Amino acid sequence: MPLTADVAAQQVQERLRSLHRLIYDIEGERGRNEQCIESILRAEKAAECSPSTDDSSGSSHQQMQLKSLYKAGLSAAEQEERVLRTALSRIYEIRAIKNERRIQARHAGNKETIGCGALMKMLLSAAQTLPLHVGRVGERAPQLCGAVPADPGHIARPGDAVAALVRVSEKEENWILAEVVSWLPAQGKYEVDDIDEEQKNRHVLSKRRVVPLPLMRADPRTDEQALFPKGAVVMALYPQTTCFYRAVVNRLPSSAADPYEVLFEDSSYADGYSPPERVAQRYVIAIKEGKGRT
Amino acid sequence: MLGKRMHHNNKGRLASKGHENGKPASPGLSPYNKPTKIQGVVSAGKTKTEMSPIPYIRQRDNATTLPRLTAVAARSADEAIGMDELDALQSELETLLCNTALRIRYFQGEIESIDTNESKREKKNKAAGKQLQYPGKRKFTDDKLGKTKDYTKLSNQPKVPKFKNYSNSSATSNIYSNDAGFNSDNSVKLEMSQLALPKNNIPYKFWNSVEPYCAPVSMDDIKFLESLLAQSSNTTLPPIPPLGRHYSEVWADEHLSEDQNASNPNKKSSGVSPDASSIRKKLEKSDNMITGPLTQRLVSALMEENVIPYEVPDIKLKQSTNTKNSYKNSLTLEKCLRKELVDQGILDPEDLPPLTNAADDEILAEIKKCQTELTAVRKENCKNLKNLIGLCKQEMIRLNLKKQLDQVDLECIDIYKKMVAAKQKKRPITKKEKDDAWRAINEQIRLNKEINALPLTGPNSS
Repeated sequence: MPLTADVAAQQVQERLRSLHRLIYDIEGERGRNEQCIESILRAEKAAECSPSTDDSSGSSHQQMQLKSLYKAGLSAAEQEERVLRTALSRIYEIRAIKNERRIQARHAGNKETIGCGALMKMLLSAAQTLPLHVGRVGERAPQLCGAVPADPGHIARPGDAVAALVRVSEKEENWILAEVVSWLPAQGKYEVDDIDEEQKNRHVLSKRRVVPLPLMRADPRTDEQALFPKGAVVMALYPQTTCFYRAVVNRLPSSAADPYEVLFEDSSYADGYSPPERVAQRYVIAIKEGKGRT
Repeated sequence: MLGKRMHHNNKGRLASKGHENGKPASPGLSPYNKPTKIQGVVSAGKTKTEMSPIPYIRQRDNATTLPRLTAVAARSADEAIGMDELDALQSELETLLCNTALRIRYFQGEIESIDTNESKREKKNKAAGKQLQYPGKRKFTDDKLGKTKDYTKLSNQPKVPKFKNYSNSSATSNIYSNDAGFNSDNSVKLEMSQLALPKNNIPYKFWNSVEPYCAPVSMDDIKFLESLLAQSSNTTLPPIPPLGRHYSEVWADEHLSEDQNASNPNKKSSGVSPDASSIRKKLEKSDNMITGPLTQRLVSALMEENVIPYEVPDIKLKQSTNTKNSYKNSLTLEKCLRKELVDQGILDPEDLPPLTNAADDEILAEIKKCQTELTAVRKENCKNLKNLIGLCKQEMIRLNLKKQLDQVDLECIDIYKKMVAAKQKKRPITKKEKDDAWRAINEQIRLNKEINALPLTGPNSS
């Protein structure tokens, strides 16, 4: 079903209204949570004063009391989490709708030309607004979240950003940032567009020359295992370019909004590595062995 | 204009260094989310400076930490959310979500720790119940109370202050110290989990101890070996001292009394008879005086008549030379007698065993044996030391060559870098540079050959 501009705008408005309601809910939940936390803090303080004068049964009683308070806090927090997740999913939906619109517009042929500066800004913003994965306890990060690679059978959807290995000259191949146009199942190939529209290049590449970029960021504090470890050799988008180069992870993001700090392999520096550069989670991918040498 | 293309042309990605605005950091995201969230990242023990260990963003901080959300929440539903607000809203909601997720983990951790404490305490109570006739879960008598208190105090005393120091105002630390009162094991465990584990420096110790064995040989090592060699080749064996008083006198007495007893089977005295020593002294005296035939006669007369009344004293004396009779005085006496006998033609000098018989006393024999062993060991040592010194010297030569080679290697790398840089700048390589490069490479090859030609000298040789 084609997504016309009107329908899209309507859907977006709907979600914005829902989001607004959810934000009211969030504030309500936060109020409840705050009460729970206050009472927990009070109980903890009481427990702090008592042990010297109280006996074991009293302390045990306190422990039970604390435990029930923690449980109350836990359920309040879980409720808050639910509302927050719903609110965020509204935002993600809005983004998906807008992306869909963009793809359709492009198919229709009215391709907006964006300058270099605007493109860089767009890439940055896309990295920042990439949905965040905050795992529940014991949950494993899904595919294409942070450093988690795509499942073997994964097929990137049209509009998904990918790193594509394209031949740029007789001898040279480069990993460029591109966007999937379509998947050609018969050939097992992707049709991809160079993200840099000035290049006006469309490539048809086999699946192994296309690496999908993460669809989600991983939160370093809840899902650290979904990030590249320090010292990992990766492909990272060189700042201010649309090419991926080999790099070594120097520092992990400290928060969800934080980028990686990487050192690019660069023979023009004495130690073979560039000074630390900051690259967003979206543009750091696992290296493909034997490829991507610059 | 894009770096990608620039890169193709002239490695131009370095040209676009100004990534302040292109830096993928989030300019829209203020630093607020770090401090507020980090405070509660981990459970109690680590957040001693915080008011609350619970990860939480207070609503009263809304305006500073979550400005967009606050603004939207304050608006009426009629005033819709703008698309331009979405980015900021997303990041704030994500901040909240992270925070909530962490809070959930925190609560779960706390509940779990209370549960484990509980089960431990129950176990302990059961164990105590066996001893103390089921101490009232229903009712605590006064003295029982006293007991528990004493126990908690005792078990607690060394730990509580630590806790207090460690986390002065953290609310949760109290739960822990509270627990510590019940169950000292538990408190130790909790404490362990909170305090940083001591650094394990055993690997360093181990490698330090291994280090000297793997270090390259130095001049000092050779000097040390040479000093050892000098020491072991110079020292002569200590001379064998003359017999001490104990051996020369006491043993001689014993021997004489033995002889007496043998000659006098009826007399059953086991010890050294007093007259034996007096006789020995007499003999000793006479020893010194055996200078002329008269004295000799006197001696033989004495021996014949008083001391050893054998019929054939000569034979006895001769026998005694064969037995282990080697005390100094008797030896002198022996010498004289032997000389006399030979002179008088009673015995042939060939029939007699050599006088300076090395093994004429078991201790002397032992000493001699040790000395031979010692000489052999020393010879072996000297041989090994010389061998080692030779190897060390060779190794020194090799190390020297290696040092040179390292230098040349560095030079080669330098030249290589220069050439690459020249190529990048499209600058032609001068003849001198080329010559230099060839010289360095040839030198490298020569040194390598030289090193390989050297015989192997141990673990460092590879």
